[in-house]
Amino acid sequence: MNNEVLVKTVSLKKYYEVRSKFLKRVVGYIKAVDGVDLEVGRGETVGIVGESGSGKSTLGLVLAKLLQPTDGRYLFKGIDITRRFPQSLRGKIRIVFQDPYSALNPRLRIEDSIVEPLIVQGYSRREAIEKSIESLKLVGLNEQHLKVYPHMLSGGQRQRVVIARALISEPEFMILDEPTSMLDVSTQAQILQLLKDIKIKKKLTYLFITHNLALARYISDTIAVMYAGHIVEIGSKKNVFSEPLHPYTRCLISAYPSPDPTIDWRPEIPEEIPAIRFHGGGCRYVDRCPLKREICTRQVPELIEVGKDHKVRCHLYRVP
Amino acid sequence: MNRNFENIKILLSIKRIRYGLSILIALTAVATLVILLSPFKYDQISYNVHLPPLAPSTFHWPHILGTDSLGRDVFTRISYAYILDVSCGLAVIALSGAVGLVIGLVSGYLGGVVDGILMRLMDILISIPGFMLAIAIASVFGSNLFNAIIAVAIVTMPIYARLVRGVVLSTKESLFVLAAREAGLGDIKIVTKHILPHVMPIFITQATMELSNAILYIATLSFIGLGAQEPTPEWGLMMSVGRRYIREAWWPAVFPGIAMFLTVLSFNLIGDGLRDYLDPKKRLSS
Amino acid sequence: MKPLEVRRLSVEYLTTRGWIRVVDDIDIDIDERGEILAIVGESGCGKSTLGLAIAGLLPPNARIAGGYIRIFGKDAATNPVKVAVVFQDALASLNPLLTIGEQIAEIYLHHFKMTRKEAFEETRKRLKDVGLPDSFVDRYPHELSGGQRQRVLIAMTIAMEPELIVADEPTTALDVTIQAKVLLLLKDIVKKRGIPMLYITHDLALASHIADRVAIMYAGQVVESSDRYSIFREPKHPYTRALLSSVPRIDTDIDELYIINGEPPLPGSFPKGCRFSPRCPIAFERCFNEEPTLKSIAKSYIRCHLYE
Repeated sequence: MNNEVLVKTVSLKKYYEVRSKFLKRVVGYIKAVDGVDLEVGRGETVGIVGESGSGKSTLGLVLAKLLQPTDGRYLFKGIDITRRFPQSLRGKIRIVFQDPYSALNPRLRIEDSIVEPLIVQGYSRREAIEKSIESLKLVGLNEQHLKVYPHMLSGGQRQRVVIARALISEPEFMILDEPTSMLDVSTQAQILQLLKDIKIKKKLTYLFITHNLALARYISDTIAVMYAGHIVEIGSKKNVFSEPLHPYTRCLISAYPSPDPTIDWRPEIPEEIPAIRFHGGGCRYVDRCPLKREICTRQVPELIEVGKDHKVRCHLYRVP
Repeated sequence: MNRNFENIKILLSIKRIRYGLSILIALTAVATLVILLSPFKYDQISYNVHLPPLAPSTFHWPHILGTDSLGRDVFTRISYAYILDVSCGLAVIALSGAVGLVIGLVSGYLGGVVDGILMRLMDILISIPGFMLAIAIASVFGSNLFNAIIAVAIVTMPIYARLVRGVVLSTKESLFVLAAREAGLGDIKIVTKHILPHVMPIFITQATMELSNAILYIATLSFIGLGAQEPTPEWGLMMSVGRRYIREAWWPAVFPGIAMFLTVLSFNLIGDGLRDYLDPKKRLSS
Repeated sequence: MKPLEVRRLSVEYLTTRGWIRVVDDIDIDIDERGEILAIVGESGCGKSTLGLAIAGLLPPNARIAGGYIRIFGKDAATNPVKVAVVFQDALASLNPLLTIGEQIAEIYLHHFKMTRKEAFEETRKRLKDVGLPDSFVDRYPHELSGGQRQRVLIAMTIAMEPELIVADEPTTALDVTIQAKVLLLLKDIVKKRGIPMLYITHDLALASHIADRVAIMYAGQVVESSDRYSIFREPKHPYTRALLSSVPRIDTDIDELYIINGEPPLPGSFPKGCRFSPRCPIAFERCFNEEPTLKSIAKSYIRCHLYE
């Protein structure tokens, strides 16, 4: 793995304003992404794991330049693209969404959908179609699939088309937002293998967003666990799984049963607390944490390095 | 292109569309034939006033539907009126549809202040009774068919705007629109390539149903004297004039009414059938 | 009396192409009260249809084309049987205009003809059973989180005092941590009260921890059925083995997932012979021509030519 840092974020934030009904005054914020520091090396797969409300999808959209961050910086290949996204770099960052059934316009043929990124970049239709055939071949489809409509394809095939559309602009960084969660188990395995193959073939770097920790374990090099807009633990796959530090990480891991029924399944899940909004001070996990202390209610812990390639955001830990 | 043939076949399988289309084709055929073959001119006044249907004439065929209070052949006038009224109807929906479509697209897509202003404007327009507006326009610009078309178009335009806006609002949140934006497509391209195809079917269906309303509106305005003027062959006008002598001669008033009824019915049937085509088909194909 | 006995059950749907068989000649059993049978399969295998058929909730365009369903000895087609269903989408199953308390109490008021006082007393007990505080009686569905809503559904299910529960992917829409709590709660309740349950899911790992027995469905048929330990330790059917090795695991690193080529066949286009043969890595000639029958080996069932 290269040491080149391809993607870097510094204290990236995305807040949504909540307004009162009458005077439309701002009464608070939904802090979807609340200060994310991330570094993704070229060729790496970073798995962002979180449940609903963690901010992982919002982070994905911000990194895909579909949402403007409220604060913080976003650097790509050393260039600051927080406010301005140069035309030459568009196409280098692409996103694949979760739902292959609605990601393609049902009224357009595959060929019309897939050439879009190139037409926008100024290619002629003929050139774009040639490139799209290449792209389709990469994902295991072929020329015949150009002329059909999405509803004629299976879910797995549609997702391949979506991936082909992402690949067509020769990206370097791909954000994959739950790309297999709407697919069958057998199809999921195929798509995951496909993603692994093209990562090598096309020298890609992945940000793999998922709620499924087991899936993240399989596909990622680095695991980042998100909770309420923060990264609460991040490290190499080996470190995070052999020694999960954050109470939430441990809770998550315990929530997955092993397929082996002789291994007891004992999830340790604290009570659920609905919506995370208008947060006061302190650690986001404090209401649910079984190991909370007084300081946790007052102060947000910093993300500190507790070992080589292992960081955690929790007052239980100090810098060694 | 194959898909279009498939679609046409499905469309024709819907009974309402078949019936509506048949009536429409029959009416058009009859009107065309009469216009081409009739020995009478639509404004040919004669002394043969209020001749009953099938009364013989001095030409090689009789007045099949009789003559009116100025001795003009009713059948000929109805046939010209068919072309005229349907054309006026088409003009109205073309005008109001085009403007309504654009307003709906802009309003729905841009949202915010623009949406607010445009929709309030539509609210105002839709609350103006068409007749009031027609009278106002007529008093300033004169009573004629052209002004009547303008008045009706203005008043019916909000229907399209609202309808289109609704479709745009739901479509613009779709994932494929987000994906298109992600691919780098600009707003205009997104609207024309992704949103418009979703708008069109509903728009066309509505337009078809509005066509019959437009015809009725124009005829009504002409009936009260604000639209077509003599000697224009127009159904509303013909019925208005014929109304005065309805005791002595019912045919100059009744036949235009029947013709109008049949025309409006056919467009309604087609529009209704189109609406059915849009709805359950989606359920079946998924 | 066996809680559930299904023999040769076939269910068909009416489509534009005629009647299509979605569940084909299925035999399943639940032998004891409080026993949980999991039906595991991918989309299109017919597991949800099977659940609906057993619950008596088939839509009007479906029909039972053969076989029978007996619940505690009574033929479900002709006798009123109380089968409760827990669906995936709690929000859609709850009335947004009534409070939680009212919706649970309604069951006691109408089915059991209790007085309001009694009904609400029982309601509070049910809320306690599912771990929700008394105060929730006055809350509305939209004020609850997904997991809490699902628990309300479970409370309503118990309130019905059903003879059998069918749970169709009851936790798929929930977060993983909430899913764990809700599923284990459901299992606990069912075991404590001795209610037999049919648990339908696509997740084999969940099935092996929640259920006592697991039946794997493919293309409308049961291809393997066994107790939860045997399914994992000695999977017999190639599809079961493939399922086990094609899913990422939380407890261990895997280099490569096993790939099953192709996609699950849809009803109406099931292949000739063994339905899994086009995708089976060890299919031989007989598999492509002859459909294997369900054979019993010890306490397991297997539908595969390798075991005949």
